Amino acid sequence: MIELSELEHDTISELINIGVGRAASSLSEMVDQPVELTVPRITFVERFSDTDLAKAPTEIVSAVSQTFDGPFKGEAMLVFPEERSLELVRSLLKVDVPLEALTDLEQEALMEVGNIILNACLGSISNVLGEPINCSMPSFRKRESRSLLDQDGDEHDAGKKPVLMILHVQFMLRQNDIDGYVLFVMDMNSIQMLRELVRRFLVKSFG
Amino acid sequence: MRATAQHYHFGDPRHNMAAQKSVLLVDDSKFARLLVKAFISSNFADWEIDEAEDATNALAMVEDKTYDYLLVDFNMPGMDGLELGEKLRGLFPDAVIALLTANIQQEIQRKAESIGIDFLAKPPTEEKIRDYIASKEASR
Repeated sequence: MIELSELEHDTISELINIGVGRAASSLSEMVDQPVELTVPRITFVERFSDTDLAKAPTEIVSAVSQTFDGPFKGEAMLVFPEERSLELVRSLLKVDVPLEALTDLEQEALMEVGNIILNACLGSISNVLGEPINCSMPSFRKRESRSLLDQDGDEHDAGKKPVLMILHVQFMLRQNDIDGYVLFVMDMNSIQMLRELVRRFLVKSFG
Repeated sequence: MRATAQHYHFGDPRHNMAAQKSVLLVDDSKFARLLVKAFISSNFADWEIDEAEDATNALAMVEDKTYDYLLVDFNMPGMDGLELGEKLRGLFPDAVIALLTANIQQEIQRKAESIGIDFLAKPPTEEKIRDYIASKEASR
């Protein structure tokens, strides 16, 4: 497994902090209330089910996912409990919409929120490192949290991703009792590349 | 494919403080279009606001109509917002064209500047959209 030095670990956490901070301020602008964040947690696992995120494995979650590609690549995901997602959409719209119309808009709204949040995250990380990152179009999935990262119908892929780095930040909207989290998932090669860029960044910044 | 178009008709002269202008919103997210449209029409009543869900539709729509404002998302299926923005700039040298996008990377901002279009970071908020348009109206 990968050993990060304390400084590398710190720098990656700080990068994610900057990214998620920017994302939180975007979300806060959209919902007009403060958004609280937890300190990012970095874990290395072989399977998603090994993380403690899968504590409630059968909970249904809504997730917006975007793959990213650049010097390092992976998947970024915004995840929240399905039962609160309509509430989130309601607070985004700020106007009273009948429930049916809300349900119609739910997926569209969540995708756009995910798009804004994940781009804010990735964009600010890219800006700090000075490396462009391409983001795919967002996609939406609703499923049990234990199968969050399963590729649709592709079992072969599993063997190619022996190590995943999971970066996890939780966010909370207290007024609406909504919480969710942002995940970054990268494989071994990308982790090494990110680590290399972080090293270069540290050298450039501190000599 | 037909472009989604909706026209607002004006009737009440009280709303004609600023001359009526036309806006084209290009965004693949229906939700994003809905919000931006609401923000514009609540501040600039009677403005005509058309929508396109991608670059192909947008280009078809500008064949028949000129717009004062074109707000374009970056990340769309097919042609992206920068490529579309460049074409639109060529067609409408005097229009206000802005990339309205969640992609806040400096490279995107630089490219927007280099093709002569503005950059507005999502999320769209009422203040952001209103202030941007108001400042453009003031300088015309």
